[in-house]
Amino acid sequence: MIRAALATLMLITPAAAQDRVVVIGGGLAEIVYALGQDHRLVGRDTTASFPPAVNDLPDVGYMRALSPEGLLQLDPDLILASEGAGPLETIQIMQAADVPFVQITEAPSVDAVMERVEMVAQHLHAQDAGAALVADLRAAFATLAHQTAQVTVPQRAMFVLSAQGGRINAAGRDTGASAMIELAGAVNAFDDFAGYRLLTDESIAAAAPDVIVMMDRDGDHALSDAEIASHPALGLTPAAQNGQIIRMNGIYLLGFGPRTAQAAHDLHKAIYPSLAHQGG
Amino acid sequence: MVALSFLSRGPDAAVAGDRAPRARATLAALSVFVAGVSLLSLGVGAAGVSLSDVAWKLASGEALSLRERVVIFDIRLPRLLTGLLVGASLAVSGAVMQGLFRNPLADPGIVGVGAGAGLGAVLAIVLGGMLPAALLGVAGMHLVPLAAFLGGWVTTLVLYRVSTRRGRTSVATMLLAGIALGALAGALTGILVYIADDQQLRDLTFWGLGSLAGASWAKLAAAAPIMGLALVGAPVLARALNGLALGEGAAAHMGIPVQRMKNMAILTVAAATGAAVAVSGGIGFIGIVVPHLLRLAIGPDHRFVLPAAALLGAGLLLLADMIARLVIAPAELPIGIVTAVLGGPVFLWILLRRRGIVDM
Amino acid sequence: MLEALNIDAALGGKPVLQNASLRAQAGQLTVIVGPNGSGKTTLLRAITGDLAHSGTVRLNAQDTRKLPAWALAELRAVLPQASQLAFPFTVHEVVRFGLVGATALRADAAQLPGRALERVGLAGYGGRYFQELSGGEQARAQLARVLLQVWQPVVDGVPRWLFLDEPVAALDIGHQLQVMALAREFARAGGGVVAVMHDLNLTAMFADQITLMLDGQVLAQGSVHDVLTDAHLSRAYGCALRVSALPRAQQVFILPQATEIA
Repeated sequence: MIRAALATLMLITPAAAQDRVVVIGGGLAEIVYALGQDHRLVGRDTTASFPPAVNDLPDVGYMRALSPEGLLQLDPDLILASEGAGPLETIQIMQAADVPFVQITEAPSVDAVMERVEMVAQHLHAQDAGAALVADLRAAFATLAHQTAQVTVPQRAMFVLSAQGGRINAAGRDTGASAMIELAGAVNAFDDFAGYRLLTDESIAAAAPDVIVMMDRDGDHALSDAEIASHPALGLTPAAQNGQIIRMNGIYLLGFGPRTAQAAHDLHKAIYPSLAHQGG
Repeated sequence: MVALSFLSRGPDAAVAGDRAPRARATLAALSVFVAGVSLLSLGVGAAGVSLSDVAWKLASGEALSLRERVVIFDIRLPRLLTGLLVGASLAVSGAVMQGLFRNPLADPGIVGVGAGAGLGAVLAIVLGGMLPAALLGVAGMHLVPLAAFLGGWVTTLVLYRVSTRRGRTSVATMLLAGIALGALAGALTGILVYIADDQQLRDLTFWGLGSLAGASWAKLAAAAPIMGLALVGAPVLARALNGLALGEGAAAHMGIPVQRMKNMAILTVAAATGAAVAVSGGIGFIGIVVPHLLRLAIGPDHRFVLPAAALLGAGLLLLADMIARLVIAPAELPIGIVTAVLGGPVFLWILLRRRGIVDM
Repeated sequence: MLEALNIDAALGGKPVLQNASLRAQAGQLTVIVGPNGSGKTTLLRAITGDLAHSGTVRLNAQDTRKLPAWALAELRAVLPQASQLAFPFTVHEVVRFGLVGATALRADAAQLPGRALERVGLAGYGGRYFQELSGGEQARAQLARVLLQVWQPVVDGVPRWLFLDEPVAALDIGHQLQVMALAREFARAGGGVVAVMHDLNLTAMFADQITLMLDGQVLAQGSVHDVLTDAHLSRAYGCALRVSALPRAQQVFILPQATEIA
């Protein structure tokens, strides 16, 4: 009875007002909340964990291994997904079931953040809120640019993704971490390869980073200061010698969502403590 | 778990060691079991579409809703068929391999055949794009299952050559060679993962999770012929595998073309394992637990063990898949985790109970 | 008629059979004897195709190498010296493996394994696990399987053959006599039997024809009286042996002669 009533309701509701939205991707979820549209969400994937309220929504699993039936169970009328979501079979089934499955760029850049906000706003028919958010973000990024323009000698920063068994996995070119390092007014100490890669001790010593940036995480991927100091290669870097080790929340640092300007600002302040004081 | 109720009994004295009647009864019971689990699998799911509603609508000619049509025909049906084929393939290839190696511990997953098939699949995903466009067009969807089959075939062949001398298979050599081959295949897979680009990495992630979640008609169409051929061909091997239990010489004197049958057994194992791995990633324990339970229940006669393994493997995999789908809905567990959690303890229990029979 | 002509074979590069020839008739029990390492089992394995060899083997005038496995299995069965079994089959199931070809299609096929077990003195053993039998019982169960494979000694006027490699090695004297009587009965019914034996006295009691091997060659071939002579045996076995005649029957028995007596 209730299902039937709901179905009728859906039929007569104009397409403009989807109110059963599933969001796939942590950055997109943040945007939905920043646009004030979170009341329309009925589900999220495992990568969505901010703001904390998002954790109360049903979890449809890892964004790359979505179950078609799990999604349909939530009876969505719109799925907003990051490009990497899948598998293809699930997307095809959503299309067969007439559920719009919108894929939104996940490129790690300032422009892409704006584009994401605009696309999410457009699909949620919240263009006004979107325009306001984009304006806020532009202002924040302008402030950040003003701040980083003061940097005269850029620090060489290294982003450590994981350190399982003492093997250092670090970010190269074309990664979100690299983009954040540049936004913060530093340079990536490893720009001779793209993506994330396991490093040899020698290449770490040769790169001699001034700063080490990491996610604050637990388990065997984590590295304590003591472990860094005793690591054969990391211990010798200027970063370790001078205690220039920065830990930030992973999704805050790499989410490329509404908080990215703030995150880049925090990173900038951590890398250049003295500059930040001067700039106010 | 129909077969479990037979476990405690030894051979029945009343029929003087002829377990064929019991085997036939078990086959009938297993058929009912698989049919039941299949219906259940079609009817159960996160989306709350009920099979009885759909059946009633189909019978009365009423139109199905789009949701019902998609859930039943695009999600559950291809998944059901994939589960049946994969479960049957894994169990049968385990039984055939154990018969060929004359040892109940030979399992494609344990002795590296699964890893070899996995290497084939990863090769196809990562390097498939380098193939000439014409060839790629021909192979298309079949490339990954085909490559997995080839990987499994080469591994089985090398394994058999290494561990068999003069018709006798050394179990220790087989297990050690299997570990080495598995490690080698794993390492090569690791190298390929390293050079894979982002899109390929995504394909690898989907594939490697050991799940039926990606089941689709297109995938089924690509892998079903290989698995189907292996399953249809397996019963031909039954008499040969029985004969091989007495040794290759005795098998030959019983009129079995030993070399041809051995080649066919190796091809069957590779085809069934390879295609199953290509469709669903690594799913463990079906290949070793199912034949084992059946040998306890109906004896080791391959004329019955092979078809019964197909049925029990299919049924158990469907059950495991239902568990995988339902426990953390709307998300899903990888089915490989479910089979390992269920199969591992069962296997240990069998080893403890029947230590004398599982002698190496 | 079995003809094995000019058989040469080598094991590990060392020649073990040199120009050995053996003829056996259907309807007779032919026994191959000889000291350890004389090549008697090797000759049998060459004849049954278990061992690579040169020369020709013809069974009922057909070259065995040109017959497919199934056709050969309909014509002859082979009892191996040692038995192995990989899975926990029951005795009944092992014996049933002998149901091959046309025999499997007989109306009474289901009863035949039980009858074969009776013939080897294992009635009622069908329900036991093969691996739990004693060595001698396993040997007899294997014999039942092999017997089942050539259940009718003659089919459409064509004799069938039994090749037995030391069929009584693991048996007590009562079962030795039972098995040898069974082999002779098969021969009397028109089938051919070729057996490798160690026991000269059992051979003397049951053989129709004897082939005596030494150093990979045939030393003597013929009837019991032709082959079992003091000279042949003493030369073959490298010790003093005396062949004596049993007073009543025309049978012989062999006694070892202690050196001081000789």
